[in-house]
Parts: sequence; structure tokens; C-alpha cells
Amino acid sequence: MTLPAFPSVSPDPEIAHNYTSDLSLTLSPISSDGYDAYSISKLYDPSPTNAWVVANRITPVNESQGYVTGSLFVMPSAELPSIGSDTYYIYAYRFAEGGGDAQYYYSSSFTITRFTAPTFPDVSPDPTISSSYTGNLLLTLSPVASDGLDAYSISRVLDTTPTNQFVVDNRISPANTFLDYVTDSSFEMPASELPAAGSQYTYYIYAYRFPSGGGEGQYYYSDSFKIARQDAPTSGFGLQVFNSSGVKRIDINSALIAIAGVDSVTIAANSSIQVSIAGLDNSGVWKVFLDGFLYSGSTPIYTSVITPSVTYSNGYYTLTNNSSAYSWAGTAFVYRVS
Amino acid sequence: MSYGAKFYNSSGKVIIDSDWPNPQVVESTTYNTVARGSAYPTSGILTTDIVVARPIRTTQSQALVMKTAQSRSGNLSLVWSSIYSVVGPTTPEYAYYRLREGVGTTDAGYGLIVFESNGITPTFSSNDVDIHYEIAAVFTQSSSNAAWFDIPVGDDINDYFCVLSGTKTVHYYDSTIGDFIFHNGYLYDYVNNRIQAIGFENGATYLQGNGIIGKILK
Repeated sequence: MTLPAFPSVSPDPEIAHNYTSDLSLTLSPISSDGYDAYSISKLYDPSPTNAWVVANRITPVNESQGYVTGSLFVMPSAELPSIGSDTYYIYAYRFAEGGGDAQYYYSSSFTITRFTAPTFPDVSPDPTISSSYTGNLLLTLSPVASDGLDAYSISRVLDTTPTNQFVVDNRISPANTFLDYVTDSSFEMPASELPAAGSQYTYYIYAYRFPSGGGEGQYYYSDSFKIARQDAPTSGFGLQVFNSSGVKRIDINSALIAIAGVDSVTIAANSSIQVSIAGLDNSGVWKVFLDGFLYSGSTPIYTSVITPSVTYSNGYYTLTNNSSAYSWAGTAFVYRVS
Repeated sequence: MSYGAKFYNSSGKVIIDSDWPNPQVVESTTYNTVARGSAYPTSGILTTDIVVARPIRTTQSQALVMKTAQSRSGNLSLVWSSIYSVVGPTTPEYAYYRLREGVGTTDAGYGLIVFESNGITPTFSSNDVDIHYEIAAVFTQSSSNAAWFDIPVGDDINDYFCVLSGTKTVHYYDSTIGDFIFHNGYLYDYVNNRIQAIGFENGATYLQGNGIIGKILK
């Protein structure tokens, strides 16, 4: 009688805290002649019956029979540990055609470990400081890990899937520790990293779980917050608008876009049309954008592009189709551009 | 105007007018990006909406943002289309904001509200400008060399978005010559920290395209 090969999975796999895919495992050693079958179960029996294995085995994603004959065993994501570790047991079987006794034997075990996630804090509500504020600003991160085995870094650069090096290169050194990160809720933002009067910065928090705390030692994006510094009105004339944090949002030199109209227009060859818009004048604060095509009848012409010219008058604008052969049809977007 | 409110900036130009609504942000992609060639937005857009967009900065020195239209084999319709790129990375992503008029709120506990001349529709509310779009430069299509807009010192090029409304673009397929593109767009030059409104029509008839470059204040 020929015994099956008795494979194992080594080293024990580890998966990220947010891993959601199926997991490919490599069984080794295996029989090269294909007459072995290998099944995996989360239950242990040192001398199983075939019926017990069949009843308790995990169906791999890459095979529908409930076993594999090669080295690849794709573990379904649903069978992976949701937290911590799970132990898996490999059973080996040799078909009679290969000289085996058609009986499952226990082979070996392995463990899959899901890393522990860091806690993902925020700073809320967004802080506002006065225009005359000086010094560092103490921020409170919440929630944070109570065991002190997380690291929290803050940057003004966003990356939702950061590498550790990205965080290291871009993080702000808090003033309350000699490290570039904190492990508790207190993060003292250096004065040099605070916004100037009348402006605000957006900050991005990254969270890391140390391997000693079961983490994978990888930074993850957590959340963002803003720090705004109030501004005092400046002299001059015009309009200034402040938000509820006292940050100036519209200044006396701001230029805001406004929509005067969106018109569908058709212009015959070598012709002009006038489109009326009450209040439009030729002071230069209006702009017409055109999006359209030349047409021969109802057929668009792709190989010749002549955009109508635009002139502005009091109360209307004029579009002139300079094509001698084709009509022009499209959309005219009319914006006040100050 | 016989009644209402009109505010001017320091250059004497109108920034708020009770007759012309200031559009507010109704959609943004601060974190979710739009892949090359993606249709946007998928629903709910009005023809009067303004879409302002920029490419997501990558390691490439330049990237182009523009609006592509339809193929000859597809349906031809002059509607909002998608964002396309021909410069820079092969799979760039974009961020955009969508602005819409007439969505101002009227329940400010304090601040300023300006109504349209119908006395009902708010044309401006100080509650709605915490995130808004300010015009930085306006370009008119011409055959002259395209002018560059230099990002002001201290500003981040990633805060600058370009109006895609009216940037005519045609992308079509010809069985003889293959893909063929007419377009207007905006070239982001990350090395020199500047943006250019460019226009090509069946080659390079126009070097400078129509366009508005502005800054999202957020």
C-alpha cells in the first residue's frame, strides 16, 4: 500500500486586518502523480473516517470537489478568521488507482492570523483659533487604543492607502513628544503648522498598530479635520463674508461665477443669430462657451470644425457661423465671470 | 435693476447680484476619484450645472483634463459627457465639483442672504460659501500661443479646477485613420506649477482654448 504525501502550510499565513479576499495557500510536499487528495478542515481528528472528513472539510474556491490534488488550495474568504487566529487541519488521502487504501489520514495543522486593526481616531469638532492665537495647539484624538500600542500620525498630505514611508516623509512632529507620532489622545500641533489668519488647513490622521499589539505594522488612513484661524475685517470697500468659524470665505477682490443661461442654438451656414439675455451688456464680464458641431442636414461633420464667433451687446449676444457650407448646432453656456 | 442687491469686488465688478444666482457645490469628489473616460455624473445632472475638474496629481509632469464626447459609432448628443486624458498617465484619475444655481438656503441664523428678483429664490447665502468656486482666469479661444496661468505663490495647484462646460470635444473613430480627436482642455504642468487652456481643432487651428480656471475654496 502506498501512503499519501503529508503536506503542511508553512509559514503560518498572516492577513491584514481589513483583508477581504480569498486566500491562496500552498501545500507542500504533495504527490506529483495526482493520485492524492488533500482536504482542510477547522476540526481536528487524528484518525478520521472518510465520512467525517467529507462532512467537515472546507470547499476550496479553486476546486468544487471539496479537495485538491495539486498544491494550490484557495481558502474562501468566509473561512478566514474575522479576528485573531484560526487553526486549520490538513487531511491526506490516496486513491486506490495510486496504490492507496482510499482512506483519509491526518497530515498537519497551520494557523491563519488576522492582524489587529488600529483604532481610527478623529479630531472633532474642527478647531477654530483666533487671529491673534500664538503657540502650539493641543488637539484631542478620539477614540484611541487604551493599551498604548497604536501610533497616530498627522499630515497635511492625503493618501487613503499610504505606505509607511509616505507617512514618515509627510507627518508633522507633535510638540509634546520627541517622537513623530503619539500613542495616546494628546497631539500638540506646533504653532508653525497652524494656518495663517483668515485661512484654514486640512489635516489627515493616520493610524498604526504595532506588531507587539497584534498589528501588521502598517499605517492606515483614519480621518481628516480642519483647523481654521479667524481673520479680522480689512480696510477697503466691497463685501467680505465669513463662515461660522470666523474664516473669511469671500473677500473684496473675489470673483464668483454666475450662470446667465444655457441655450440650445442652431445657426445656418454663413448666418448669425441673436440670443437675448436681460441684463447682458458689453462690459466684458460675460463669457459664452460653445459646445457643438457643424452639420450637413442632420449629419454631424467631423472633419471640419469651425466654431461660431461671439459678440456681446446690451441685452443679447450674437453668434456667427462662418462656415459657408454647414450649419452649426450646439449649446451655448453663458456665464458671468466678473 | 430697480430693486435687489448687487455687490462689487475691488475692481468694480459684480460678485453678487440678486438677478444672477451664485452656484453652490452640489457634488464633489474630494476622496472618490473618477477614472479616465468615465461618464460623469451618472444621474441627476442638469444642463445648467457647472462641472469643474482637475486631474489627480501623479508622478507625471503633466496631465490633461477635458470633456470627451461620443464616438461616431455611438449616439451623438450634445450633453454632459465624460472626462478624458491624452497626456500623462494612461490611467489617470480626476476630481471634480459640480455647481448648481438656486440651491441656496434661507435659514441662516446670521449672515447675509440675497434673493433673486422674484423675492423667493435665494441667489446668495453666506451659509453656502464655505465651499465655493472663485474665478482666477478666463481664456478666449484664439490662434495665438496659449497663455499660461501661473499658480499664485502659496497656493496649491490641487485647489485649482477648470470649467468643463462648453469645452467642446469630439472623439470619434474613422475606419481609415482610426481614432480622431478634436478637443479643448486644460493642461496641468506640475513641474512649473501652472495651467494652460488649450484648444486643438482638427490639428492645431487654435492654440489657446476657451476656458475658466478657478480655485475651490474649501
